Amino acid sequence: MGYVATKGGEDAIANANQLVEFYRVKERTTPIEIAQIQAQFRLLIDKIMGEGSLYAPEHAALVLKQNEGDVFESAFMLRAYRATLQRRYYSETLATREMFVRRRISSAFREIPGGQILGPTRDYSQRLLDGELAEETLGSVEAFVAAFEGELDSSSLRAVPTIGKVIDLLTAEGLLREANPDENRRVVDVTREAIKFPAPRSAALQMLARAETGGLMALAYSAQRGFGSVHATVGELRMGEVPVRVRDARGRVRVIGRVRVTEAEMISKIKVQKKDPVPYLSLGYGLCFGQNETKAICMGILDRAMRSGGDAPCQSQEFVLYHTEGIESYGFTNHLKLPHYVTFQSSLSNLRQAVERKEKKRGNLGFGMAAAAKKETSA
Amino acid sequence: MIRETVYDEIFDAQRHFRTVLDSMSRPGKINRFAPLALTTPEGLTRAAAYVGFALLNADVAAHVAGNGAAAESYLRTNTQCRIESASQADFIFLPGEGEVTAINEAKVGIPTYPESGATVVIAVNHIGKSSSTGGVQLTLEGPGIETREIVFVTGLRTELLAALKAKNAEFPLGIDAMLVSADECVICLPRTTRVTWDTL
Amino acid sequence: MITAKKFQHTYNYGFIDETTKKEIRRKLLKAVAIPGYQVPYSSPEMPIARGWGTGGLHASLSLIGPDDVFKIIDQGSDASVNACNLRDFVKRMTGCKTTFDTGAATLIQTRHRKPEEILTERQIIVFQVPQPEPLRSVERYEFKTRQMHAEADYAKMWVSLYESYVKFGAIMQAAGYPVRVHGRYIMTPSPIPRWDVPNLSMAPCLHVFSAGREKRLHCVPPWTKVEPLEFEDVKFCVEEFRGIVCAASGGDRAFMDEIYESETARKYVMNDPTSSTKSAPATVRCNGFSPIRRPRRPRRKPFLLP
Repeated sequence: MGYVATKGGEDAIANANQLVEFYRVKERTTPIEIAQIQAQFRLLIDKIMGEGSLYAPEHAALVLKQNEGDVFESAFMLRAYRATLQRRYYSETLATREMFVRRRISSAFREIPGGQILGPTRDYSQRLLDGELAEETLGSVEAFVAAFEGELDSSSLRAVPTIGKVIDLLTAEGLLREANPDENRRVVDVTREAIKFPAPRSAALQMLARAETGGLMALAYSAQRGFGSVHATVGELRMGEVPVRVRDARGRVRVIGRVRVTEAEMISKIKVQKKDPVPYLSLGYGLCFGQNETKAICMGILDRAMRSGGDAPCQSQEFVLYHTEGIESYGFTNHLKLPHYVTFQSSLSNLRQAVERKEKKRGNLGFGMAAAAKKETSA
Repeated sequence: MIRETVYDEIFDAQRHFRTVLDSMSRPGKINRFAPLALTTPEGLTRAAAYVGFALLNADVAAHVAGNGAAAESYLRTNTQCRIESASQADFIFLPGEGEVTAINEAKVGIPTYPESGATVVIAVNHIGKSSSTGGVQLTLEGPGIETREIVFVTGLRTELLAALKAKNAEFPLGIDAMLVSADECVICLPRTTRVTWDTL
Repeated sequence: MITAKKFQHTYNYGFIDETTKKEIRRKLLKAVAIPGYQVPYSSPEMPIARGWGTGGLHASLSLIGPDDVFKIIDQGSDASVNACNLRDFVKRMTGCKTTFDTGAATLIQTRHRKPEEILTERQIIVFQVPQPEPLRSVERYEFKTRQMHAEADYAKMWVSLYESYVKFGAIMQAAGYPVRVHGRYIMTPSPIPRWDVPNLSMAPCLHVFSAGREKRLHCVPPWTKVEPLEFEDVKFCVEEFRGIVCAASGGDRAFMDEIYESETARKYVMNDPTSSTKSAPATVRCNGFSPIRRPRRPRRKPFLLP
């Protein structure tokens, strides 16, 4: 019978867990190594680190393996693991101007100081299947890497400077300004206190940084298509490593490592107030772990949208922040699989009585619960 | 300043919290804390320290009224709580024989977030079910009480009760009080409790 | 085995860290002091999915101690798979005693039912809550519902109940019927059946309601008035099980589960297997109910597997 009526709830769970493990390995293929996932599914790792809100590539690789590649379960597991970790420090603000830039573009200008650096991107590739990957061997990989490195002329490599920002040019000209100078600039941590609305921008950006990429994409796209008017230009998109600093017990600032992040600075025109006819540009900001450009760009669009007023879904803080929260939405949509028969029975009771009332009104006494009960007792 | 080593941050905190929760859920019910050998300083009784250790940490602020410097230092050392003025504090500790100032200044919360009202921990001499010489008879009604609770308290100025009543005049705003005795008993008076008193 | 060590983990008692427990405990005390009001709390992630009981676990694991005896049910059943999973989690993280016997439990976590047996002053019941905001169906924005509660402006809710009556001849709200607590806050009792609502008022036990995903805690202290919303001439009433008896026990005074054995054969059994006609509270009739449930001494019967 059903999985509730039997007393074998615990047995059912034990069997399900075993079965899932069986599904994971039953093909008897060579177990995949954590190092392989980390190296060859880099972008997947980056996505779930961001959504799991934990910069831990090895752990991300482990949970992907454990969950057979389910990205929702994997991000969820990282979050749950993160909740067990001791909080030792808050870092100093990351200075993305210090970034070791691997990729950096601007759509706002054709040429920019420091140059447009295309970097590692598939943006301009042709999305055609590469059958050769089915035959790939460690040998062929090593040959490729050796050849690639062999082409680098070490004598022509220069020291890589840090690169200034495009938005600094616009700010210097006075064209780029704060959207809301009176905005609440309090820094909150939504993992320590529940978000309250209207939320300060720090809370909104923190939630966007942890949000599910697809959810952000859907809402940002709606903003572009007219559900709310955000016509943004990529002022700058950069990806690379930044140093992370904390203060030790003696108050000294120490670098504890580097993380890879993607940063998007989206520029759009501010709706002009009637009193102040001089138009200007403002910033929508996005920052996330690893290389996840879709997320950073959509963060920037939504950051702007949420601060622009209006009643489109993407312009509502509550709508955007609550519904792009991947772990919460994943849990609640799936919770419908839990038994709901008591709540359902309560509704059925109401419904049957309402039907009976309506049928009685119409003079039809052959319907409803009374008739059904009669039928059963006489059966 | 003493950094206590006898306090179990997991199990003593849980046990004392359950004592306080039961008291807050049943105003006027006299509970006794499981005793611990804390060495509390001037201005902080053991029972008050139990409350502090169970509930304070770096996310909240405390204030000890009257001669409170040593007590504040003790609480900060052992719980990492912040120390603030009475008007900013989340937890206020004061003696039952002391001044009403701290209560008058305590925050009552705001209509959208009334829980931000303070908790006031008042150290009294004795709390009991029968009248003793002197003291105050408290008659309590409201949520958590089936009909009426009567308790007898010594070491509590009625001015403090009047000040509490004034603070709690506009539910849901208000402050919530705990009375802790020298022999480590506790009763709670949440803001929903209607308190009337008679001096004996 | 450096790799293996890296992923090893020992867990704090009750899984949740002590800082978070303290925060939850402070918030619980405030929730008790302001009956029916939703207190926001940090609600950290758990290894259980959101919407599957994280809030209930937050409350239970912040309350629980070595002396507690823990019971957990889902839709009234201890054996339900999710209840089994959560019970196993709590046991793993605390080593506590667990029970299926309502009378033996000191801490009960429940999804969408209150046990038929009257709970005592020694017991705390924690309800899992999917949507803590009773006004959400009439107002979608949190910042507006918070304002409505602050001002006790519940007009939209009353209009919605009235409109339901006009359309269908009765207030169609089924499980999770809105109630007024201590005459002030409108609260959802979580999606318990209407059958269980009268049992919340003037009860000997403490009720804790926890919504993990929405990050809210609310409480109904013992001996507190809980009044389902109703009109003078359109009263609250519980589910009707007219002419229905339990196929297993023959009793007729408890909430019933409808079971389809085949496409044509339908039967009813009592939802709460630890109750029987003898210990059931007074029958609550449709179209009128007694707001004062006289508390009875619970029968400490040995738990019998049906």
